[in-house]
Amino acid sequence: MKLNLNHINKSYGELEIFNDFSISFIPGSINCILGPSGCGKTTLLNILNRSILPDSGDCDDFSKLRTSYVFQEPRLLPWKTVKENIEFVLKGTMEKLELQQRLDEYITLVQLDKFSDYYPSALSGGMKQRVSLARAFSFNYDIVLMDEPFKALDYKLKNKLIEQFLALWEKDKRTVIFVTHDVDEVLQIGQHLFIFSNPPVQLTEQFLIPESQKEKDQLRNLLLAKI
Amino acid sequence: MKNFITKNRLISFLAILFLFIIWKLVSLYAGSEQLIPSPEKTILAVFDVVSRENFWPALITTIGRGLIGFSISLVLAILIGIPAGIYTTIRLLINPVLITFRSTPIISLILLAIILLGNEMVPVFIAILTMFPIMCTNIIDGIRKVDPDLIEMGTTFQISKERIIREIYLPSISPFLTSGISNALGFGWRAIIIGEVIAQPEFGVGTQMQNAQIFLQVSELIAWTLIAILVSSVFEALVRLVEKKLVRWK
Repeated sequence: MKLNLNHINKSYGELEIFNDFSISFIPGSINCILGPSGCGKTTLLNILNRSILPDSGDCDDFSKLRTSYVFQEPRLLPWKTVKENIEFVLKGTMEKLELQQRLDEYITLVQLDKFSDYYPSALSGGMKQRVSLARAFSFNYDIVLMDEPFKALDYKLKNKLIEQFLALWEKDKRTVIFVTHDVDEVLQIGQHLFIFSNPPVQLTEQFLIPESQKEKDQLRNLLLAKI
Repeated sequence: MKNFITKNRLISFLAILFLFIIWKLVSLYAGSEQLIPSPEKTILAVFDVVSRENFWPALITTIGRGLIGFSISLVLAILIGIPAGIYTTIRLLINPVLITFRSTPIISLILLAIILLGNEMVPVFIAILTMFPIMCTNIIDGIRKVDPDLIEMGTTFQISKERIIREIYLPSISPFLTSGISNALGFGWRAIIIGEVIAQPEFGVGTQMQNAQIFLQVSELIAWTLIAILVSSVFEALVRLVEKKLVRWK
């Protein structure tokens, strides 16, 4: 599987977001994109997701992929329970029995077993985002796009969610494209890091995120100095 | 909580009692049971009216007209309101029609309908013309207030248009829909009865009212009115019940 975008152009009126922009994501790993806010990260996700088309350029690698999405906000249907919200995206994509098993499996993975029949209005913000994670990862996807999904959460909750996210990802290690502006988040979860500039967006640098804590700390200092 | 309910009931009961007292005083002051019958005489008239053999045919026909008119209006309102809420072009096309219907005096529609349709059809036709624009407007407003983020979520996960309508649009408009239904029924019952009074179909509450009026049976006229109010409030209560079921998730 190749995940390349080549020579992408996209403008909104006068504002040029992408001008001859190319990037190659690494399949089967967690690709993080770090950049200032308003640097076109969400636009990029929308292009990958095919909900907006670039003015020109080649994004064929993504045209047949099934994408899943974790939004900044949970975006749950208030009239459906936890279980029904996840079922909503799975229905029609698999057999009934498999669907039931998958529902149970992913609800257990995000530790919401006791809450599977609750409506979102009865859940905390962190719990809702866990439902959103379970929904995205239970879906039959080729790549999952994540748009600052932990932004609105406090530090402790964020760590817990990141743990659950990694557990979900470990299950079958599919491609993740994760947008954020938080360096620590990147170091905690990422394997590859792409740094974006202000628009028109340039890919200024690309890193392989090291395993050892010492090297991570060095990278952290380097990154904080840049941003 | 329970105390509140009983307290609220007590207040409502007192309000009704107060109305009856005023009524009684006015009828005493008028001094003519013919012109302004007393409450007790009217209650007796209600029993009298109910025991007549033409009571049930009249009541059932009127309710039937209401239900037929309501069902047709609801289906039309959903079929037209949903696309009009989603697509601006359709909304611009339908809006002048809705505004025209809402601002046309019911009586002109009735008179036209008598000429064009014949007496039996008039009340149902009037019911549709009053109820449809109210419900359709509410559905359009409801659709326009659907959270676009949820729709985007649905399209991102490649959910079919049909399921997006059924599982996102319809539940989000249900509060608008029930308030539209309750408004429409309120106007609808009154419009049907006006239609019956004027068009004089064979059976109907309005037909009976018109007869009572011709023979100056004021107590009977008020008795039919009380029955009409009762029918209207029973349906209002049904709508509230459905509403409670629909918005369980809140």
